Amino acid sequence: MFSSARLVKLNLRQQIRAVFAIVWFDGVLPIRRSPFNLVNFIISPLTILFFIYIFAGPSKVVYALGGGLIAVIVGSCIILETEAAFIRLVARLQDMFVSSPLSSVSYVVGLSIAQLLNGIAGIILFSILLILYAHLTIVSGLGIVFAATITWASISSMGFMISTFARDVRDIWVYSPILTVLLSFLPPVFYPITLIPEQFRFVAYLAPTTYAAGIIQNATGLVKATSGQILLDFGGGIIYTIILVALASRLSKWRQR
Amino acid sequence: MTDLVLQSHNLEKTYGSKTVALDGVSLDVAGGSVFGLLGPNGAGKTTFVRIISTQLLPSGGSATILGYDVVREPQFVRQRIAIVPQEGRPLYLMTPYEHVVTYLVARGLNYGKAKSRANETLVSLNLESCKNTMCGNLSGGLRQRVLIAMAMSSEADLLVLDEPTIGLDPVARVGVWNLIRSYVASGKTILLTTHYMDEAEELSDRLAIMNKGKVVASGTPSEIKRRLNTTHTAIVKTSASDVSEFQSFGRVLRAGTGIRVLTTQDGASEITAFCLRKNLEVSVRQSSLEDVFISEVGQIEPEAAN
Repeated sequence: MFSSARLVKLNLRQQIRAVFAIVWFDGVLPIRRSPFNLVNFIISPLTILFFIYIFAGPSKVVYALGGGLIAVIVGSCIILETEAAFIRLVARLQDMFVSSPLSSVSYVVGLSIAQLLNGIAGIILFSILLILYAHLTIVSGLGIVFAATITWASISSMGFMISTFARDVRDIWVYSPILTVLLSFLPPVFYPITLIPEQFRFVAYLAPTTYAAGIIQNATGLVKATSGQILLDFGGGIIYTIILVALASRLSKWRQR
Repeated sequence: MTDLVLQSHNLEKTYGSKTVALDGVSLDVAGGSVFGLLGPNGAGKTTFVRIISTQLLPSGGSATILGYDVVREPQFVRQRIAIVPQEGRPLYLMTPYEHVVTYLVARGLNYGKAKSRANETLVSLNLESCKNTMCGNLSGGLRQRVLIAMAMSSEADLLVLDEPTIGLDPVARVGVWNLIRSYVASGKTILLTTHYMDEAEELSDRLAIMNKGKVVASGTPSEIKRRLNTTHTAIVKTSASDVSEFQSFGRVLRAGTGIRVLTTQDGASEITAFCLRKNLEVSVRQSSLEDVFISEVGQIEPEAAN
């Protein structure tokens, strides 16, 4: 009565296709139907750019551009906590995906890229402005891409992990604005870490965005980082990202106990 | 209907240290049938469904789907099942077509196959006319149908429907019933949880009644009804707290605003005459699954009372 075809997991090609399907479903289509989403994550960084330009002058604008790029990525990725919680607790579509051959990795990667698309206007805008104002080389450009990638991976992991602990979507709405401030505006993302008294700098390194901002500020020539500082920014950024991704895959409740 | 699709043996689930949700549930579900899982809220139906659909790990016991262990071989189980969760809903900005295509591609189909199967499924579920309408503009019944379309489009061997008609109007409920019948007619199997008695009786080839984490009765609907050893039920509207005078006619159960007396055909005639003499409102009908449910569970859900 039942098919006896050999059962195998989805292959890599199928998983990648599944990721794109989720990106289309949860990222492209909502933006197409509600384009105002694109503006949401760009407003705050543009405001800061405006104030830095007014009060600190054009020479400090590149801080606002690098910081703006990170803030847009943080804003659009941390919202994954609300989106994933909504899909799990309200729509309950996550249950349908858990009880299907789709892997949890494909699901989370799909959702996180989908959320990143909400920030795409800001990412493009700040990237263009960085190219125009910071006179990037290929190497420094790659550094910025690296910083953006670890920010996306670490903040998305954090967002999904938090979403799986939510008992109600209202539990979680409050966290996004708090985390956005803690990850984008308080750490040295829009300003150099040297402005923080030395004895308190370790606090700044609790935020993964500090490492990404350090990479960008060095790549754009805003700071002349020592080799130790470069090592700290890259090494710390990579280690922090690995820890957050590992914690997310370990603690996130795909199949509950 | 000989192959067993689902087998559970002494399945247990305890939340925390003392909340027992499942207490040794053993069930066999035959292929090509609808198996109904009945029970009041909190009986353990959804916990059972979540375990066998690989969303939740059990505390003890075992369960297999088509021979695959749900704990040790979830990746194989997941290829053979699809679930419609309780009180789920589609995303309002997306259309039924987009939901089904995405779900199918996520399950491993390529876009070409996913699109053609989505179209076929939406036609067969009478969703074709609204397939490009955003789900937020659909009625509750149609939204539920979208989730069912997603699950049915997978052509899974076992479809798990957790309270699929909750909150739907009678017409929409019958629509869902028709979908369930047509899916099973294609040789597939459905595990249906519900606390609507008429739904369970109408759809299930076999069913189990759960209460407080245990199976308290199982069999075909007629086998379960025979457990009462009565044929008729008299429903008497009375606010009296002392109902001992009815006990001579049969077993008395409190339900809603009155009592139910489970009795024989002769007993039904006698109780009717008795109530007319006492000027009490009475109606008589053949005993139903609902009477067994109240008898076994000892309460009646407000929804089921209607």
